[in-house]
Amino acid sequence: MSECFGRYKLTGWVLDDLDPDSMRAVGDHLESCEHCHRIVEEIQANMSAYQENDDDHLQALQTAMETVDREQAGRQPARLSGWQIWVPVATAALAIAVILWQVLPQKTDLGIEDDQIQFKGSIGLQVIAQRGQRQFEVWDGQHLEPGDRLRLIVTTPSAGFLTVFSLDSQGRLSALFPGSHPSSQPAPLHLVQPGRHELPDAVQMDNLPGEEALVVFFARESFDRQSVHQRIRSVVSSSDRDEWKRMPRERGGSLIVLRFKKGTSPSQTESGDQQP
Amino acid sequence: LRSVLESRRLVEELHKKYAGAMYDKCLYMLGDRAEAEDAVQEVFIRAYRLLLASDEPTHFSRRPWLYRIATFICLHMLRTRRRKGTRPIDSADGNQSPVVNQENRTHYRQLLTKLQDSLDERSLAILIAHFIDGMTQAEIAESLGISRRAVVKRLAGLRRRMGEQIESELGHV
Repeated sequence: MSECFGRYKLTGWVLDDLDPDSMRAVGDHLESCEHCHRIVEEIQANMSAYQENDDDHLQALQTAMETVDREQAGRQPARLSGWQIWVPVATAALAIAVILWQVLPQKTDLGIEDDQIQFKGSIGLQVIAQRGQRQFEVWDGQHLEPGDRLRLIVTTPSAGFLTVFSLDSQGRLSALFPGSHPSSQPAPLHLVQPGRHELPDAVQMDNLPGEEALVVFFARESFDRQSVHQRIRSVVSSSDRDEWKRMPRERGGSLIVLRFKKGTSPSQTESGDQQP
Repeated sequence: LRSVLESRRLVEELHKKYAGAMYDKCLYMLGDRAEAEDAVQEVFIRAYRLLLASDEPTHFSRRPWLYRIATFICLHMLRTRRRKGTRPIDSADGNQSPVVNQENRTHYRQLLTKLQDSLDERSLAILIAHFIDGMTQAEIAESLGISRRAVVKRLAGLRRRMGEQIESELGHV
């Protein structure tokens, strides 16, 4: 008879969590070893005893995770004390940049006149990029590399509805939040409370080169995403400089556009709802 | 960093698959069903906190990672129990199957508590993984995130230091 196995390995066998060779070896051993067989029975009995109240345990865990979320939200300013210094600096730099752009308008690859970009006071967008171990805030016009992961934090003055998408230099829109195509999910993301919302699941940069923009549209009332997307597309192709200002007003919402440049990989572009 | 939603999904998935096994592991270490249930809850809350604070890929070795968390949580609970003196350790469990060396288990819990005064957490974790969980050196290395060589050296050092006490008292639980 082969040597007995430890409880860890036997538990792995019960869970079917071992590689095939180990599963076979443990199974063979159990056929001839009463001692290990009894340990397996005990493990199974304990697991079953716990799983009898599985729903209660899961519910308690979910409540505990919500508590952790609240704790973490409370600690956010302390954890991001560096941001308390950098955010005002970044905001001031951004304001100066906006003024300069207004003085010296230039046509960009996206077909948006620089002085048409709006930074509405009513909603806020903070984009944090993670590159390896390094985190930094993304400013308008910044260069991003393939593989960079973006966290989007949107601040809204009220409950409402949100759609976020990217816009490339060919005028193609890619839905980000909600992530599904507007034709399959016409409803925007419903934010039930005002304040700071971190959008789930980071967006990862692909290696398609060129200029791109993140577009955030927020309205208090629900809207049809596809129609908003089409309207943005028409705004992009329009030569009317005031279109960008008119669009959010006529839709009863607020619009933010954050432009960035991506790496210069020669990969081919593709259409459809892709991540940027 | 990993998003809240992704971390939650992952923890719920881990809970579904491993909560029962964690309960068995914690019950084995603590010998008390209510405390073991609390410990399991702590394991997954700790896992959630760690996932939120990390952007490690999700295909890491999950069971060894959870075992490591569970070991440290149980050690903490044993220490708290001893400090408070609220529960005599050897009367801990009345429900486990009598088939597997029940007396030795009570004895090892006492010994483990005693060893907490003289050994650091990592050494205790290695002892538990080796003698209690019955892990191989490779499994211990994976679980504790250290090299196999480090495990071998640490176990040899413990044997030298503790003499035969470890083998004779922990070797047959």
